Amino acid sequence: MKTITNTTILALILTTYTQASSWYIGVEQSLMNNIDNTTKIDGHSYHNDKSSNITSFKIRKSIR
Amino acid sequence: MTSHQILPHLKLGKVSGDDKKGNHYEFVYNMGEKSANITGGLYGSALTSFSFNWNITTPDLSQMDELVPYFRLGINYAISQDKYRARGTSSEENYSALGLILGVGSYYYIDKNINCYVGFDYGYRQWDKLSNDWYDIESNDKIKKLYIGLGYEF
Repeated sequence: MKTITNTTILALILTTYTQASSWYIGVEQSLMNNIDNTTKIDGHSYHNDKSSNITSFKIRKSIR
Repeated sequence: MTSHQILPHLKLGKVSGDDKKGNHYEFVYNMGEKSANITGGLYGSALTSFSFNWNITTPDLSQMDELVPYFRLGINYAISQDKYRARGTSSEENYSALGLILGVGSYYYIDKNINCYVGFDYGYRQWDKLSNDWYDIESNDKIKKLYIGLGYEF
């Protein structure tokens, strides 16, 4: 997955350099930024207030 | 879980072609973003978040020379600044998420080199899959963002 990601980012950067002509800088401000998170634990989805019950879970990265 | 965050974003980009109507490629740093992911107490913790956008301009859709509509295709990468101790080991890990952005918007050129713009993005990103000794944990964010911006070309 990470190899694909790195390759994709590199391809986008190379595309930028080969096709672009002038630079620009900018600042952007979000007026509304809504993030709706869904977390599934052992197949069960958690939203809203239910989330507060599981924030103390200790986790580790899957090794598969 | 729904989270509302009003964020500033800094960007550096390039324009393709010889005039302002070309496609825009940009690197965007999203300042101050906080996680809405509840896993492992990640909710509310600071993220390092950036995006790479390709704004595909469609000047033919506009009757005005100063108005340049665009469609946005981008990728977003976010990683938690907090680290979490892996269960049963002494190592610590970061969470990271990777996602896609689709959007529409329009530049309005105030001057030859200065533009302001407005747009709407819809994004989806998937967090790292995690597990503890009992459960598999998966998490994703659906993001809707309305924004305004100011750009200077040189």
